[in-house]
Amino acid sequence: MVRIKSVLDILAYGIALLGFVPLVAYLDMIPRFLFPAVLLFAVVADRRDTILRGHLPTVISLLFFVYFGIQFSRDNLVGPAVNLLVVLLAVRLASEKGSRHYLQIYALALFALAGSSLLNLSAAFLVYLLLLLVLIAVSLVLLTFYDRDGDTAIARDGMMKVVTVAASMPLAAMPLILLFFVILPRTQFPLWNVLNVASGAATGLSDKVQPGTAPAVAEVKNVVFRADSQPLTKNQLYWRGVVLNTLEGGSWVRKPVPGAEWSVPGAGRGVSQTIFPEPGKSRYLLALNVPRDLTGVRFATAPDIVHTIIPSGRRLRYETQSVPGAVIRTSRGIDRTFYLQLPPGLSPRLVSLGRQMAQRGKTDTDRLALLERYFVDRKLRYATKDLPTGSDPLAQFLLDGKPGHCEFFASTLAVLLRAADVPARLVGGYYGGDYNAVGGYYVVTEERAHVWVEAYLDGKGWVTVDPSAWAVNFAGVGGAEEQGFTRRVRMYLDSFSYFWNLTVINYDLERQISILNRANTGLRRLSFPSHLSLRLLLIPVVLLLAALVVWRVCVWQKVGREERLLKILFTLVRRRYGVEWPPDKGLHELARTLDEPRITRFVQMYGDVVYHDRKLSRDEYIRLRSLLAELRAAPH
Amino acid sequence: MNLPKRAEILTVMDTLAGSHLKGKDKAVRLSLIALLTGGHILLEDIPGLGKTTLALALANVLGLSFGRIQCTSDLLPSDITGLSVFNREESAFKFIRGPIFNSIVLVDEVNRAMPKTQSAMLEAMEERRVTVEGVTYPLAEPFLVIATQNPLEQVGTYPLPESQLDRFTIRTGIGYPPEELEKSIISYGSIRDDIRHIEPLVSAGDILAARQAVKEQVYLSDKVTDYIYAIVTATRNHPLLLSGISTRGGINIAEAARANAYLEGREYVVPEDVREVSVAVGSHRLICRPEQESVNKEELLSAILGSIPVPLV
Repeated sequence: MVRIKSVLDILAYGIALLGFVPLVAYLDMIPRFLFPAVLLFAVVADRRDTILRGHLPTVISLLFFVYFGIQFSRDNLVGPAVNLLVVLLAVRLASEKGSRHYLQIYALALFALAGSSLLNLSAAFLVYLLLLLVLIAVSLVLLTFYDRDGDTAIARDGMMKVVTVAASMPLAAMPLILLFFVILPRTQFPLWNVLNVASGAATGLSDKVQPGTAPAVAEVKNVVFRADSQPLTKNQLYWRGVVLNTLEGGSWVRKPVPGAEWSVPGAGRGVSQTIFPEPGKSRYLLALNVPRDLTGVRFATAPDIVHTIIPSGRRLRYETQSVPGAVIRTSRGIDRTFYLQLPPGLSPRLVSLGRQMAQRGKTDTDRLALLERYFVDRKLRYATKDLPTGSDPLAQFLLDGKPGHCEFFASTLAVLLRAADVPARLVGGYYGGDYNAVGGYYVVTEERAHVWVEAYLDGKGWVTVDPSAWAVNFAGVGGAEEQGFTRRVRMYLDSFSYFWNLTVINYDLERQISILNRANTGLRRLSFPSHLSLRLLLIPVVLLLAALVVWRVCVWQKVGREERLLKILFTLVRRRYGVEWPPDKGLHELARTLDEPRITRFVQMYGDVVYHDRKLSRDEYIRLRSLLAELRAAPH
Repeated sequence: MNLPKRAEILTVMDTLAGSHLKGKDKAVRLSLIALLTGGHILLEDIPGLGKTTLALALANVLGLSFGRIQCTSDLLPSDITGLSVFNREESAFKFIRGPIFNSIVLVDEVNRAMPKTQSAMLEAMEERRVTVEGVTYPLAEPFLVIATQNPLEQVGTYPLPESQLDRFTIRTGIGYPPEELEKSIISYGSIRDDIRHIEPLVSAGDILAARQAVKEQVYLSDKVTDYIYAIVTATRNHPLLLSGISTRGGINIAEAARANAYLEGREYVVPEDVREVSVAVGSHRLICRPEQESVNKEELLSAILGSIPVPLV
């Protein structure tokens, strides 16, 4: 037969050692030599049952706590802490161990090991940790037996079986731990979304704008990117993605920019943002229109300020500097014929309307103004349903009063501008965004995809024009905002997802270290008034302890003499005989069972008073107390 | 501690349990408790375990008169109480006393008697007097009925209803003696003859004095009363039980606990006294729910006792 307690003790020694060994080199003299000595003492004492009992261990722990507490300073945080941990571990080993105390040993050993990782970064840490986990798992299983009955003994075979099963649990769990804690949260894609990518016509940024192919557009609420930024006004929230410069057949596509064109955003107040795109298949880097500068990733820039990368599936983050609403200056001019091309067979009604504008307006600016007035006068409606399709959707939209969405507005305006001899192109991106005040960032979803126009005005440069803004119902575009509670909940959920991405998914060691460094320097810079030394902080600690003692005494005094005596008696019985006396059995039975003359005498005297419905007098109390004291002093 | 007559009673107990009725310590003790409280005892066990021997030995050692009633289904109440017979010489009816007028009455196989006879006997037990033909006769003092019944044989019996079981202070079994003891009993043979020659150790007066002492000198504290009350209420609220211990049952527990304290030489009752007598005094008063008839009432009551904390302060 093997006693559970002896196995638990051996495991506890192992666990304590695993907490101590990684720290040996960094410990002060006292704990360094105290621990092995105490461990030896504990091994012997546990076998002979001469382990420390009572309040002595607590007092020793407190003394060491004060001793190391004095050494504790802002420049010396870890040292005293690990020393204290090791000393506490030693004290725990040397004192009596109930199931609670075993748990304390495990926790202290884990903390000590964790502390060692602050002092060195050795790969051996992983070995220690795994060993510790296995030992603790086995111990916890055994502890459940121990907790039930401290004297349990199990046959050798049975014990082997228990230990094997207990040890196999953490080993079996290891692959799962790897999967859940290392691989899963660090994958760059949500796994399920990769496996079934949504297909079908939906809103979103594409490098082809072809109005009139579908009578309605589905709105998708997937997040495209989050932008850490100051709050901006709505008319600044144009997120630039791609420029479409050629009309081919019925659709706008992107062709390489010809000539020596080179664009620079005009002057203005810069707004910086950090952008966290959700991983997707788009290769355009989005930024607040008009981006001046973009850092943080490797990318290519086209002359019309379109940034592209090769999609790698990795999560990105990049910083941008933008000048909202700026005019794009082109230092070397543009290829006018390229931006005036119109494909043959385009709606004659639109082309003639454009030509009319060219005659009525003398300059590019005039023509743009005329077109704006024309659009406004037409009282166009913005919609994503009931769209014109068929042979000439743009003319149907502008001239026949059909509703349209941004692609209709932008395409129509661009075509008219080109017909009126003003160079024009389409810019695709996103418009608007939900500002999350909790996290201080914008969330931009797919259905916010937008297309607008850039017109080249002689002497100015590329000017941003959003013809959709001329629709009679443009103010409501972007969908009705959810109000109140649901919106707040969604905001909190989204912030959680944002910070998760920021700290876990995009985790990198250097950033963590830089945060740690910053915290550390911050702590160093923290200064107390010079006359307040840390030693003075001991005064409240001492006061607190004194208050605790006083409180304890008060509670003790409040309890009746009878209760006090019984508490002492039962504690004594538990210590000496290991008997937890059940509440349904009386004292006389206890005396009969234990057959100890002093207890019998105590019970007789006590019962004589109590079961005569009397209270103990002071004299009787003292006599009974002394009987108990005699019993405690008596050899076992 | 000077409880009157305690030494004598203890000698009786030691003599009986030590030399004549080996292995029946518990039954002897409970019989004495019943005697000291003025109650009656029901021995419930199979035949041949010494129920009659116990009753005989008790009667002899106490120096009390002994009467025996062997119950059958045609036993009449007058067979117990006695009847008037016409005396021709005096030309008057003369009352011939039945066995119930003895101090110790052994009623063997009480469940074989007709209900009519049973109830006559139980009434006599309770009232301690008998009325025959308009004349009331007081019964002997001390008066102890030791009734026996066989729990296994059911054919042709009239089991005592619970309400009548309530009249017995104590119900207990005797049980088989331990192995060694039984072997020696087997080899020695019946001790009926020896018992006839037991010298009385106490007198009726001693017993009455002891009874007085139990009643007046043993202190029952409020705490222990509360404890008894807690036990009684717990049986009344137990889910398996239709009805629990009656108030009379509670009184009997208190009395028996007093007697137990007296035997222990204490002039106050401690909860252990209550615990020791509760099962013997209380269990036959419990009535189980119809679907729980098979539950062992003694074990049930022990379990209930285990769930009630003892008053220590």
